[in-house]
Amino acid sequence: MKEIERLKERRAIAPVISALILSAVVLTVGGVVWAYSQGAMTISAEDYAYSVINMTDTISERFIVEHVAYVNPNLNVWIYNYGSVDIEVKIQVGIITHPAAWIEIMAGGFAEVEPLSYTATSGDELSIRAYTRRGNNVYYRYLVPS
Amino acid sequence: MSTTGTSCRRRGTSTIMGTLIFVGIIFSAFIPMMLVMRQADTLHEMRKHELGILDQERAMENLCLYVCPQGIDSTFLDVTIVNKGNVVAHVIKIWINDIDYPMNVEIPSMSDEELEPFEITLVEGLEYDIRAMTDRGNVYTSETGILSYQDGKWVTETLGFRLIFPSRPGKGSRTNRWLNELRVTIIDKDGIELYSDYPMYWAISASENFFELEFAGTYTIIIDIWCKEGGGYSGQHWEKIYDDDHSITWPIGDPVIEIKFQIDGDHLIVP
Repeated sequence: MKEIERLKERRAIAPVISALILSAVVLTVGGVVWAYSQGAMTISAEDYAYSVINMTDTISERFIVEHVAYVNPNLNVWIYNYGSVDIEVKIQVGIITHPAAWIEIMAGGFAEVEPLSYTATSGDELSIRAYTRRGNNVYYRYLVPS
Repeated sequence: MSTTGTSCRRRGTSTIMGTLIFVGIIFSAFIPMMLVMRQADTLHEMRKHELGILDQERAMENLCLYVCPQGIDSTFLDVTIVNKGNVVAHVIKIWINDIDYPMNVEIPSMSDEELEPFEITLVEGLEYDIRAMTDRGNVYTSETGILSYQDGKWVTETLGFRLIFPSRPGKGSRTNRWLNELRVTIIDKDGIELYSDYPMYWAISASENFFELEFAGTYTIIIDIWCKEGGGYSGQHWEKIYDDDHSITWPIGDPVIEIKFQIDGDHLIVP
């Protein structure tokens, strides 16, 4: 009799323990999934927001080649950033890219590109391309004066 | 029986917990992510809208730049900017050849601004290209073209008045004593007669004559006509038939002003 009761008591404990274990497993797995989902979605949201901000900055770029002067053998180029974002810019004349490092121009700022040593004769028409690190271009045609 | 009951309870607990976790993930991760993305999209659209307005305003900007030396050999250049656009323009720089002059001038729509004269170094044979730049990134060249300094003086437009007279009325239709001789007097604002009783013949067909002047400004034009006797005169005599002021506003206005007269009784008028 005592033995039967003891066995009954054991059977009563087993479902509780298994329920606890099951709950623990569910909570653990659920927590892991929850944490993973939250992390993944946070990263996704940040990536998306970052790419949208980048795209917004790219389409916000506004700049012009405001003036060009050629005093043999130096070609001087002035660039005006009239947009609302800072830009990094270089120029290209023919196949020459200049300067080696990007020139940073603040929003609303000007920059005189350091003189480019270039051989041109009076009457030559130069096509000057100013381009930014984000990939925007501005073209300027310049007729070398006499 | 007891086993079945326990199994049912277990499944219920897991389902509830799983559902709670799922709902938790939805609310704590997915929805915030969607909100962040939507917010980023909204900001992007707002920025695109702002850029559209900026580009539109830039396209609407319309300035006319007029550059004129103060005198025939002056080292000072007068620069007048007329805003013919629908938006306020902000001029931030003037370029004279390769030298830039920072500016900070706002010009309301449909108005003009005369800038402080620019002193330049005159070089024989040199051309002077003057440009104005606005904060919207527009660059405007001078409407009067590239100025040139040659032979010790500026090469500028020819200024003057072109006086155009209508057909002289024939004898039959003539209601006054006018004959066919005119004389023209042009006086500047200082009272100096630049043309004094300059003779002109008024043909039956229309007549015209050009009077060249050196500078823009306001001039008084007086026209007399040779008349037959009458009107208190015993013989032929001169009568004044026109006396009025006219201005040459070059470089803002035309360098040559055409004045077309009409006959109004005993006088000439300019309609």
